[in-house]
Amino acid sequence: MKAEIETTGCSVRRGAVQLRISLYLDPSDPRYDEHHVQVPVIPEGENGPEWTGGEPPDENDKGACEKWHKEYRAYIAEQTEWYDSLPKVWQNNPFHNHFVQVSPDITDGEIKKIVSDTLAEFGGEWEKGNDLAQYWNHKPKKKVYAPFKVVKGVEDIVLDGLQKGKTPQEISYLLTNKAIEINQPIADHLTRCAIKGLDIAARKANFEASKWL
Amino acid sequence: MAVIDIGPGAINRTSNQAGPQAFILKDNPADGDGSLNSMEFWFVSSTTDLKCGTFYGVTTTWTNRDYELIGAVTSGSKQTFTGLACEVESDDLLGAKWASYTDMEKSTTGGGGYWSNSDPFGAGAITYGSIDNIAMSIYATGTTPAASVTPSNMLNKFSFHGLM
Repeated sequence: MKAEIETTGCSVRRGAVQLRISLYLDPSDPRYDEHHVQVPVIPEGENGPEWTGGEPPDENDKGACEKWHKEYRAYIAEQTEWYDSLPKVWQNNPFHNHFVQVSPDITDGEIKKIVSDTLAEFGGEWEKGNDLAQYWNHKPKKKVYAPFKVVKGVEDIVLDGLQKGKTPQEISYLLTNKAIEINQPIADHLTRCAIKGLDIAARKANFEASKWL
Repeated sequence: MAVIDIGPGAINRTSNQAGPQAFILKDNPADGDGSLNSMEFWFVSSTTDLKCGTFYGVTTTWTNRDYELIGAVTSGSKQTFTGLACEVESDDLLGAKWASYTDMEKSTTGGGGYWSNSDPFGAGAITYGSIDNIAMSIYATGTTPAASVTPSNMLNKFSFHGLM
């Protein structure tokens, strides 16, 4: 088994750096076949049949609704047929994905321990044959780092701005333009979280973990 | 502590649905108030930029209550995500949005749902088109009461100018 940080799931949530850790099985691990699967190969530049019918019409317009649904069903049948026609390759998917929320002051050593502990915890439950979502739901939760919650979308704007190379000042301007009033300590904290998240994502290879045994 | 569940179920289905529209699914509304700790999906082709969240509303006008940024999701097997804290209330519906030209497993039977070309996450009330006889492979579970913790001293330290 191995664990790695999945950068596309790293973000800022509830005033914390949110990291996504994806866990993979080796061929010698139990139930390897569940996530070693065949998937269609989509030819480069091809997307299959395209839906051009727009959103469903007003449901009170029965005639238009019926026509829309008929065209939509035909499109779905055509697209399913296209998928079925594609060649397939083997792919090793994560057997589990886990999110953690951490402080922007976290050290590299602490991140490595979290990744390693996550692999040991969920890998151990996987080996016992347990359903990992049920395991997590029934497990008594430790306190997580979640210092505050801001209006939905603010943290995404901050992270997206930094990813596009904007400065903290430009991000503050973006928030003002969207009529989002946010005080400076919070803006600074969210910016620190986003920078830390991007830094961890850029150095993801430093935090990989292998089977705990 | 009771377990909450919401959504049609992340299973291997017979059909597929491409992004980038946003979909809210009517099957299996939430059966409690609390926090969704885990989410599950099954895609036909690997996707990116997946967001999933809870919605409340009536007829075709729905508002996003909370959401999680999941990121990229591989295809071909059920993908499970834990460690989340997505707010949910009884009768909320589960919805998702993902990248163009990538497909989620879908059935052409089921409770139906709602469709929008907008990004509804964090966007307030949106009017959706109604779509019959579909179910898609999204599902979430959680517990009540909410499990996340907000230290009161941090709330006092930061003032939000009404953003809470």
